[in-house]
Amino acid sequence: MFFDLAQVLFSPVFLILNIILNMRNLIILLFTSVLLFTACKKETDDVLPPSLKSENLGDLKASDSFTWSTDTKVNVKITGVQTIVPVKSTLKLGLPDGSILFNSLHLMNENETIQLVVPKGVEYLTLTYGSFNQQILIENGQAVFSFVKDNSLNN
Amino acid sequence: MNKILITLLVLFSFVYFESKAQLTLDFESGNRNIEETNCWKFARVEYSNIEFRISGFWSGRSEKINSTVTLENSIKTPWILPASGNITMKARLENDGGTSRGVVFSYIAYNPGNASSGMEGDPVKFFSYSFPKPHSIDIRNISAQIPAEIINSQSPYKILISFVGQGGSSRTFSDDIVIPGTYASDPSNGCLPATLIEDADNDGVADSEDEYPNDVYRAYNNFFPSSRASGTLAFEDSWPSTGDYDFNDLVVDYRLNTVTNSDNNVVEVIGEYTLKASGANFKNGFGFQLDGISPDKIISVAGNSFESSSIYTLSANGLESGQTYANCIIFENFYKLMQWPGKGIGINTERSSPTVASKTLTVKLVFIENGTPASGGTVALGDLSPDKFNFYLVARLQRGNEIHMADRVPTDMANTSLFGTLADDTSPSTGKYYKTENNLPWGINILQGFEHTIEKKPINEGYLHFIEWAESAGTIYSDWYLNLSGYRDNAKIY
Repeated sequence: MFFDLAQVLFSPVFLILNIILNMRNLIILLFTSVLLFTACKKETDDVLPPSLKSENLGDLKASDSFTWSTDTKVNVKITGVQTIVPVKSTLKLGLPDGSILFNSLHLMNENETIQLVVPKGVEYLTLTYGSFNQQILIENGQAVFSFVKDNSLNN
Repeated sequence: MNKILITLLVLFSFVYFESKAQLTLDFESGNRNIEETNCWKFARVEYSNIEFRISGFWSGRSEKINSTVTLENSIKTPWILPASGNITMKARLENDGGTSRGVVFSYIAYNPGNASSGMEGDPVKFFSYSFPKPHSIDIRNISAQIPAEIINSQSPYKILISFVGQGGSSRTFSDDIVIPGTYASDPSNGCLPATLIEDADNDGVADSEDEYPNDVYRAYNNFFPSSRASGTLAFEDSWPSTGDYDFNDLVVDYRLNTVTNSDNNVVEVIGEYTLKASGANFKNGFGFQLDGISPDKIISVAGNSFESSSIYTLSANGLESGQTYANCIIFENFYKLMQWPGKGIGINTERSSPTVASKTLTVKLVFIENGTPASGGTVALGDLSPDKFNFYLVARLQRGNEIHMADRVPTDMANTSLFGTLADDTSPSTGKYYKTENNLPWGINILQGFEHTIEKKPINEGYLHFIEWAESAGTIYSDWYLNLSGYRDNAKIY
C-alpha cells in the first residue's frame, strides 16, 4: 500500500500537476502583491496625473477661482430664541486652539449672521455664551447654532 | 466727597435683568424647547394641540397619572421673586376615569449648597386641589394665594405645579398659568438665578467679560488671524513683469485687533506689522484699503511711516486723500525702517549676509474717540470683517505701481494703464486682478504665518508641495506651509 502511494506521489504526471498548481499559486501571489502595491501608492498621485505636475512654478496653470490664500470664509448663523425678558451676554467665537476671533454683546432673542475668516482646514468653531459652551461644525462654509436645543438646559 | 461717592457708585454699579410683574405660560409657542430655554421645566408633560386643549391652539398634557409624587408629572417655573396675589390656571381631565385626580402647588427655595439638584431646596406644598367626583372633562379654574412667607423675598423661588392621582388612565390638561412675581432666572447661565452683574464702567458688559472693564468706550478685542497668531503677506515686486517667485521682495507679518464697544461698533483697529525681509532692489511701501469703508468713517491714523518728501497726499485724518475708500499707508519705504546691512541683495534673504532685526510698526485707526464717532458715522463690527482689508505693496516709490493679492481690486490711485501689460492679465470685467494668464499671483497671504525662501529660490523649492497645492486649487496639501516631514527643503528657507 505504502509503495503504491509513493509511486503515485513521485510519478512524472503527478510532479507536473504539482508544478502547475504551484505556479498558479505563484501567479496569484504575484498578482495580489501587485494589487496591494498599487493600492498603497500615495493618494495624491491619483489626484493629480503626473503629466499635470509642473516642475517650475512659472509653468503651472492655476484655476481661475484659486485665491492663493490659506484661509476660508465661514458664515456663522446664530438663531435666537424668544425670551421672557431681554437677555444679553457676550457671544464669543473662537478656533479649536482656544484663540478667540470674535466678541459681541448679543441679545439672546436675536438672529445674527457673522462672517469669519479662518484657516483652511479648520473643522469647527467654539461658541461661548454665558454657560453655553459648545463646538459648532463648519459645513460648506457655514456653521449653525441655535439657542433652542433639546434638553440644553437641565437644572 | 462727591467725587468719592460717584467713583464708588461707578465701581459698584450693577446691571439687572429687566423685570416683568407676572409669569405666564399659555403653551402657544407650540414648542416646549422654547420654554425650556427660558428655564421652565416639564416632567412627563408635553405640549398638545389635540381636541382636549383648553384654550388657543396648545395646552399642556401630562402623561397618564398614577402617582401622588409631586415631581413625577409636573411643571416647574423658572426662578422668580414671588409677589402677592393668586396663582391661577385652568385644568381639565382627559376622561372621567380614575380614583382620584388633583393639582398640587409647592414652592422651592433657592439653596446654593445643593448644586447637584440645580441649587433647589425640597418642595414645600402649600395648596392642593381635587377634581370633583364624579370626574368629568369640564375645564376647572384653579386659584391659590402665594404663601406670605415667600412674598417680597430677596431670594428667588420656583413654583412646582404637580398633577397627581391614582387609578384609571386619565391625563390632565393645563393652560393659562399665571404666577405673580418677577422673572429671576438667567437663561444664558444655566438657568441659575439671575445675579447682580458687576459692571464697573456701566457699559452693559459684565466685568468678567469686558476686556476694558474700566473704560466705558471699549469692551472687546477681536483679533485676526487670531489672538495667538500672526499671518504673513509675501510679495513679488516686479509686477507687471514676471518675478522669480521667491515671494520675498516684501515679507510682512500682521495681526489686527479690532476693538469694539458694547454697541458692537468699531472703536479702533490696532494693526501690528512686523517687517521681516525684503529681497528687493526697489524701495517699496505697504498699505491697505478698507474695501467699501468710506474715509470719513475714520477720525485719525497714527503709527505709520513716511518719507520726509512723500509721494502720498494725506487727508487731515491721516488717510490717503483722493480715495473713494479708506486707504492707510503703513510705511512708504521699507529701507527707511530696516537698514541694508551693507552686503548682499536686500535684507534677510541671504544667509551669507548679516541678519537685520525685524521691525514692528503698530498702526492705529481710530473710528470712535471718547464715544464720538467720525463724521461719517459708526462702523459695525460685522461691516468690517477681515476680508475688507485689501493689502498692497507700492513698488519703487511710484504711487500708481501698487500690487495686490490675487483678485483684490486696485485703489483709485493705481496706474491701471499697466493692466494687461507684460505678464499681467488683469481683466476688470471678469473680476480678474493681479494675476498672469496662468493665474499666478504677485502676492500670497498665509494666515498661519510663514518663513520665506532665500534669494532667487522660488517658493516651491523651499516648500515641496506648494505646486500641488496651487495646481489643485488648494484642495490637496492645504498645509503645505507646515514644517512636516517631506514638506520643506530647509536649505532654501531663510
